[in-house]
Amino acid sequence: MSTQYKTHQEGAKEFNKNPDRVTWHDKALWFVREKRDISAHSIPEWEELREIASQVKAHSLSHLNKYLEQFEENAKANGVHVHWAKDAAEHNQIVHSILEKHKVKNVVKSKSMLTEECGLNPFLNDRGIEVVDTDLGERIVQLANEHPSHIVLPAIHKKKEEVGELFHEHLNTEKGASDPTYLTRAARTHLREKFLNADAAITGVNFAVAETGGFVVCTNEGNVDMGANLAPVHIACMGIEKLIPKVEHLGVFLRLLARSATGQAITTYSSHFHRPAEGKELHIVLVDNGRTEQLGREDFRKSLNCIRCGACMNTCPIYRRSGGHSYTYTIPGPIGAILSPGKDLKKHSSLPFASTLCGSCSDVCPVKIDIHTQLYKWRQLVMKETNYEKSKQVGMKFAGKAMGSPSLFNLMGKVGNIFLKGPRAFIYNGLNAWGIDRELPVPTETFDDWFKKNEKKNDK
Amino acid sequence: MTSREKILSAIEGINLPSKELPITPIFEGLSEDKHAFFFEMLNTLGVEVIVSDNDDQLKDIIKEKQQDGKVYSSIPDLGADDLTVNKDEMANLNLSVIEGQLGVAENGAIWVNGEDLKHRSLTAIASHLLIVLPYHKIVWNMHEAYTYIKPQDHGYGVFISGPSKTADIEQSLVKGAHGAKSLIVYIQK
Amino acid sequence: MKIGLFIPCYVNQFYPEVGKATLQLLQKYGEVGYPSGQTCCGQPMANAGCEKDGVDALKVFYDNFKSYDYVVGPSASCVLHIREHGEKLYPNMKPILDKVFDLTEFLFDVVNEENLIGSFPHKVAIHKSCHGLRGMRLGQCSERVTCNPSKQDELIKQVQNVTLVQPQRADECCGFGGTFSVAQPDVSVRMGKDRINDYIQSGAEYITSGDMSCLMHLDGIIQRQKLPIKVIHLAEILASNSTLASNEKQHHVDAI
Repeated sequence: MSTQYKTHQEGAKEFNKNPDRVTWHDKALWFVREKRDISAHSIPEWEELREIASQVKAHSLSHLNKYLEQFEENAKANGVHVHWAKDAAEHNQIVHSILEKHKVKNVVKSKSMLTEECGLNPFLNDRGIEVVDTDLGERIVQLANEHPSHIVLPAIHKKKEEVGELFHEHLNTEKGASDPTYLTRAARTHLREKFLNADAAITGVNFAVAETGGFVVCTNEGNVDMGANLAPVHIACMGIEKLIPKVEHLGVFLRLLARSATGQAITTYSSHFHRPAEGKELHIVLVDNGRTEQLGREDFRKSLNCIRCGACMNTCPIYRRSGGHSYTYTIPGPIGAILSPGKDLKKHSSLPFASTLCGSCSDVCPVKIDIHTQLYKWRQLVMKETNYEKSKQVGMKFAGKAMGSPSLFNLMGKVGNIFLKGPRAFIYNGLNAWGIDRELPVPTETFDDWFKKNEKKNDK
Repeated sequence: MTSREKILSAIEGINLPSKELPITPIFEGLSEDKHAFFFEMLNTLGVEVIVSDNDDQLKDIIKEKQQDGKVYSSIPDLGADDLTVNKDEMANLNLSVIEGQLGVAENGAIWVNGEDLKHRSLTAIASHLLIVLPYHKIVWNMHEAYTYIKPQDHGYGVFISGPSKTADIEQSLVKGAHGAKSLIVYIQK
Repeated sequence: MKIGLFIPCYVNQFYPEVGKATLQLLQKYGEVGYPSGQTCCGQPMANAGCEKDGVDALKVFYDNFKSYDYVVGPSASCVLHIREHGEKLYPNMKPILDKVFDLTEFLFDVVNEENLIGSFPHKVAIHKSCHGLRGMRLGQCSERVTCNPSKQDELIKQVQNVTLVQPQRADECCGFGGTFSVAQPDVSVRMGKDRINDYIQSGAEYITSGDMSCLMHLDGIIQRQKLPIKVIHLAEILASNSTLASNEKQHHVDAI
């Protein structure tokens, strides 16, 4: 597996040791952000759509019980098996028991961040089941024994030469070949074999419709339509927050999803499943794994609106310059930084600080999650409830006291100025994070002193 | 308590204030001419568009594609090959000809019913795909589309927009990931 | 009208000329008072996750400004913090929150300034600070499908001989982010360098902004790398015609 950093700072520092790679990574993702902009700006009702989507999600979450029960009832009536998992472990067990019942050895999986979140692959591998990720990007990271660094573009951190190397090793492509078309064709051939021999297919779910008991999965590659339609068993795993009330709401979300994600007007395949094909089985696993807890947190509830488009990653200036692997959670970037503290505040305490609170994430979000506001709120909780940067907390207490006292604050300013006028080596050293690559401002006469001197003149 | 009960009672316990469900308007089109917009969108997606008032060209395409492999068609009497539902045979198809039920101008997506096909995988498994769509079955946007399409009436149905593609290697667009490498949309007047 | 001049702490310490230019501009519209003994808005604590430690600073702010009709400061970021978090952290503040404005907002929305008389014969790029842009909607945000007026552009266009130039990326963050700049210096500096290069590529001689904190960060990099571009606060350009401001500006330009 790829290195797991303890804090985002640590990962970001490492990533920035190679400035050319930062440039490349930043440009690749900015390109996607620009495509998103063009696409969004071609829809005059874009902001209205975002508002409707946000309200539909808020409504669905406020009636989640009703919709879950309605969905289950309709899905069962459609001949679908419905399972409930309270956490990752139960999810994995449910999936495994279905596979075991059918004596499944080979599974093809299409992109599902939920199964990634639950650690399904290693769980099944340990039990002798081969799981092949069929999304090209996911297959690349799987072969490289890494995690996705982005939820829509899992291998965005990899250069084509690195993919060429990997495919040469695993798929016998020509050594040194790095042409994307050539490599994609090789993967197509390799994965066709897997699709044709799979005993079961696992997919994620983008949207589940309560009134019909069906669900929609969106892909560009067609891996869902290959996998789920060829294998005798189809297991769809979904977080309980994926529910929307009616079919008409699919119109809203399908218009927003791909435009936000990649700038496409819609994904190539928007596949709707309601009933298994004759002689086959269709299962749905409804997973909680911390979602009801998040639902109970008023300040952070809205994070469950997320439709996993990845737009907040593409726009985030910190994500683009630190890479997905610098984050300590499966879902990186701004959305990951507000979802993860709810799972483990201590482990992910650095993530809410991996931001300048610039707010771009909230403005690109198609379901209007107030991401940067939630980052701010998680910061307050991290400092209150964990030992994260304890020394900073002491400093802040002292500074806060000083700011309550104009005379003390004035004195500190004067001392500070004297310090800044001191010898260079005294100011620019390892203790001064600002000064590593930046000059400090040069103090002159303060405005306060100037004003007092010229008060009479100013009061004229 | 089962997990189902645990989850439902946990949600119950939160006792969220009810939020209203907004009304979704249909929204207007971006162009007076939805057909022209639809064709333009298909072009952008790299789709070959043929508009015709008969089957002649369609039969020619099938004949031509048969030179490199078998052709399946969900529409009878076009000179396509017989197909047995066998994974390997389907995987070797050169062309799959299927019926589209509705085209969406804003994004070039075409709705296909799974029941119309001999096997559900025929939307993705052949090397190339051809969708036949009646000229009058084109709507402006997705809101309008869902007033006609009832996905719950079909075990499997899919909106297809262009040939399958990926940009997972350095954001370079490559057509023909797992599904069709090319798409022809045959508009019947 | 009685206007209280709010001078953020770092402006007081390091950028007195920004305070002077703001004062000059505001004097046109009423009686400007400058309460001595201002400290800070408390934002550094709040963004570092210690918002409660900033309550005393808000109390000082409230005591200083409670009697004014308007409170105006040359910093969208500090003003935004007060408006967004002031009431929750220090409920007494509520009655004055509607009167606290960033300089751009005050000039554009409150006094509807349309006749600035400055002259600034330079190529200028406006760095849209995030708190001004996305926090206060001082302009059209590149992410949103809206038609908001770009207030800073409109104001600066009133100044004679200014040439506005556009960077490639209209409104990307500079990487300052308060404590972020020292908590993650690698990413912060990298973001700053990228912005500066974009502005240099656009042909700008000056980067201007309504937030001096962004400019302090960018200038730190410019000075260290001796890059061919300068920073200047928007207030200084808008006030560029008055004798006092132009003398001081000369001084500022010489210093960099």
